[in-house]
Amino acid sequence: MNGSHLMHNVSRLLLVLAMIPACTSGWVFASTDVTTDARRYSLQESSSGYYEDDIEVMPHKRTLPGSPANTTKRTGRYADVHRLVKDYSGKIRCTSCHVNKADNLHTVRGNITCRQCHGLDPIAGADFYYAPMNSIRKHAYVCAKCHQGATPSFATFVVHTPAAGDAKTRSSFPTLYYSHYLMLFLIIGVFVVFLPHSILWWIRDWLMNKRRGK
Amino acid sequence: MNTVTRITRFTVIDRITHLGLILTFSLLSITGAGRLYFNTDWGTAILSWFGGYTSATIIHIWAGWLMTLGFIVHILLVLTRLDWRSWKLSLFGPDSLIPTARDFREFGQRVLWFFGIGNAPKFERWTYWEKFDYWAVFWGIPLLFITGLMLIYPIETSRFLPGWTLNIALLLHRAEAILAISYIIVIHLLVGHFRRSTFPLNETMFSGSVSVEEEAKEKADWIERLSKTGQMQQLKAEPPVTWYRRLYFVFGYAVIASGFYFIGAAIYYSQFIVLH
Repeated sequence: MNGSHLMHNVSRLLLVLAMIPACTSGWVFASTDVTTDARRYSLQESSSGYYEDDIEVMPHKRTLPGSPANTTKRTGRYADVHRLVKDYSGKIRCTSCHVNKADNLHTVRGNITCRQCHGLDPIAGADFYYAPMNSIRKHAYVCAKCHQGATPSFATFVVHTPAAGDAKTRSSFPTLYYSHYLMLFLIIGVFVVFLPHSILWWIRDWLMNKRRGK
Repeated sequence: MNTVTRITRFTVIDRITHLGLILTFSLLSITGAGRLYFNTDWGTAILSWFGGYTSATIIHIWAGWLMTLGFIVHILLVLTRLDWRSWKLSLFGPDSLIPTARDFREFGQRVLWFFGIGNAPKFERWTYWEKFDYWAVFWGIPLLFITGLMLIYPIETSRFLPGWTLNIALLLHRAEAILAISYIIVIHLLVGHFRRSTFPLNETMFSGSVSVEEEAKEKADWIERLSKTGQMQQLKAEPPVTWYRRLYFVFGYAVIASGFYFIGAAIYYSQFIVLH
């Protein structure tokens, strides 16, 4: 009875001792199981990569009315979106196909290249689960490279801002579209009232003073 | 009884506030334009005065804080001037800048008068266009301040609002700035100084005082009220001294000339910029 009790305690101690390296080094024994690249990749990438007080922050799907829709063309779930492009090579400039895509604040003012955000080939579609551009981890893998502390909310900033007054923007980014026309009509409204008002005033003032002989 | 020929229209504090607004507004316009037009020769030249894109941005931000501070101080000063015991008269009386039905009536009357119909309205202390200029600042500064603050601290903003609101903030900040600058230069400066009766310079905001004879034409009801209530004597003012007059003529013309150059260059170079 006594002997088995001791054995029980010793085996328990050994188990605890064995768990110490396992806990501190992230289950080293278990990870040797990984045999394929895909599996290792998924272990690394399935995290959103952003933690707040040790709790993983997942992107919230909540959207406010007027939020931008996905403004880019649906690129699908493919790991390489350019797989069907003929003669695709690193020598082709991105902008020779993606015309006007370089007209954005990041490229023009931040002076950064397409590849600094979109990465090297193969470029995965934003819906590809393991893509850095996938919205579940974009903030951590793309934005946070420069913007320290970028959150999923921060990553909803539309880098390739559509032309605000464009008819297509009405569905892709309604708030931008309506803000644009609100401000445009405000500016036009102010000048439509005050420009003729000023001109007529100026003429009247001139004539009135002329009559007075001033 | 000695007759009063000049009366005070703007106190020293009012004039300092206006000067502060001129200086911060100009600094913000110039640094902001440097940033907006950064890929043109004009923009590069402006940015070089401020030590480049980054330092121009820092100056822009500090000038923005200064303008907001001035705005808050002004609001506090206005609140101290209110007479809470007779708040109705204080808020909606003739000395208040709050728009009333009278302003809309005077606007209509004056437009008809432009075409030679009827008589010109007899204005009180503040005319409707002066009230418009005043209140334009009141929605302009908070809008520019809030959107500016969002753009200075994008990460912090995205904790309270979705990140795409920064797209909106940038658009609103630019559009409001374009509206304010073009309004000030085209309407405020041109009409304020270049009418036949005010040319070469409308000195009121600098000297602080106006001639009673001149104001009897422009703001007849105000002068009439002052002489009836006997406030004229209290508001009696001396004409500005020569050196001070010289100073504000030089300053005024420097601002007006730079303003016209600014709007011309901004229109010309706008063809080379892309609103990203």
